[in-house]
Amino acid sequence: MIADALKAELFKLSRDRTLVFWCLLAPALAHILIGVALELAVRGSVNGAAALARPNVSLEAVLSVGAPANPFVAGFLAAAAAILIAGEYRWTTWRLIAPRNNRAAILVGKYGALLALACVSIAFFAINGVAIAFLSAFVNGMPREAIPGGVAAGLSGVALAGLSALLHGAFVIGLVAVGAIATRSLLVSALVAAVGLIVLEGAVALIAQDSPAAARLLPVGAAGEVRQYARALAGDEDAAGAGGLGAMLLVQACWAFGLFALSLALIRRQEFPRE
Amino acid sequence: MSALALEGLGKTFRGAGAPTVALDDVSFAVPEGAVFGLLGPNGAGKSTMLRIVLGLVRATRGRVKIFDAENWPLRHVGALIETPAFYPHLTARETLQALALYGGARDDAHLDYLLERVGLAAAAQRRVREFSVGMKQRLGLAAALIGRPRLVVLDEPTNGLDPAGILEMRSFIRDLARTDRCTVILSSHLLDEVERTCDHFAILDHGKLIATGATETLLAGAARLRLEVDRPDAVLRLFAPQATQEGDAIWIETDRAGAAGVIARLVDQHVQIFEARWERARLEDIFFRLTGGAP
Repeated sequence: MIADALKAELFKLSRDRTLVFWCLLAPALAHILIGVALELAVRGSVNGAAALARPNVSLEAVLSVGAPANPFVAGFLAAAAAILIAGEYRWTTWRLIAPRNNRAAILVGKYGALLALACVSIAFFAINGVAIAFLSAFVNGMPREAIPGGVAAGLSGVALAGLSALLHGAFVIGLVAVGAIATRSLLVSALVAAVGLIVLEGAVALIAQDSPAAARLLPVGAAGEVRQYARALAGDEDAAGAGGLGAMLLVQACWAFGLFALSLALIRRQEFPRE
Repeated sequence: MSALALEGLGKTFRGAGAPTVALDDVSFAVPEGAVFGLLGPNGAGKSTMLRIVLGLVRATRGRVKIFDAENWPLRHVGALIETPAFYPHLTARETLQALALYGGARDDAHLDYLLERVGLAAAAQRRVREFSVGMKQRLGLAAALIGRPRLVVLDEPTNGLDPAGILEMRSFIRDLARTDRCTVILSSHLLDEVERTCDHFAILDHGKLIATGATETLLAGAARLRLEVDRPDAVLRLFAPQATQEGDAIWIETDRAGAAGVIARLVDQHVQIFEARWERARLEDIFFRLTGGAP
């Protein structure tokens, strides 16, 4: 049942070129273009700046992989999630698909397809990071220490940042799913997620000043700490995560799973006298 | 075996205001292989009933059995509910592919056959957003037949079709029963369409079932003999309570065979008959008589 729903969702996703471009390719393209422009315009003009003397490939990849957690970039994933989940209400298509498969399985299929989209997006960002690192080395004309901590540590850092970004993606999808099912509106669900992420960012910044431990209990705060761990693994001597890596990943996973469970409970209870 | 059996089905919608009873203790069975018409004025509860059957709405009480099973997989029930809506970015064929994938159907050749059958083969690669209402209706019908269902539920399938399309749809529905051996439940406002297409029907009004049975039996039971005679009072006395007077005419409820007996009896009583005409009842007459609506 879930496999059928996942295949159907991936099929629909693959046929929606507008969504794939704007929600997958556009953020990655914008990222690489901005990265290249910065390298050429800023770093090229800095003559042997000490701060830039030791950037490395794995750290650039870690930093890039962390980009999808940025509320602006996460907004693209939120838009994709809104189209895939709330679109069923907008186009009144629940009546077509709900009798063909279990509703919960359909929602799990949607999560699966969106997480696959997030994975590809994260991979694009990682490749961008590596490309920008090499470009930076070329522009600055200096030998670069490719992976100072070693390949294993570098890959671990990238994988950790990727996992954290994926969990953040699952959180964003969950936020949209709950909003979409509760409001049955594409626009409102996307707005709920966008505003929710911005509010969370602000809340973490505010709370962290007085109580860093409390800020780490929020998904955005936990993701920030995991990125610190990933940066440290990738050789960033200034980065140091706090709160325990496992605990921070658990906080992220709990938020994502909590919203997933809530959306499942809502869709199972929902009735469609009309969509 | 019944293709569909409703047992004491009830649905109450509870919102901010007073609860709305959409269905009240509805019980009937749809025989396997039948083309079953579902009639009722707006707000009678037809769509709610069909949505309960398809698992889109939960019943407040009662049971739904499909082919005698309460947990019959709904992926094997084809449905076209109200005006069909589709994903605008998909083509007609992709729409069927996606829906087939949801239901675990793998036979792609069957999808081409369905598009051909509903007359959309030439438009298979066109995006659905470019379709007219009639084309969407045809695509909805093709979607309902994915997975070769044994039970097909069609809610207003002729909406948006031109007269030729309506005739085509009527013959298509009959074909579903005869050739594909499907049981078809057809909900429609077009009484003539149901009378011509369905061999069984049910009438809902204000959430209650007010009539159900075989079309022939129900229509035969409501047939009438129209008489114009010299002594209407005598006829009314003789055939009370089946006889009623409307202007100069006397109407006597009787089937075709009984009409000859009525005339013979009037002749015995020396009643002069100026005109006698037996009229087969129309579904429209029964519908308006039972629902109290204006003909």
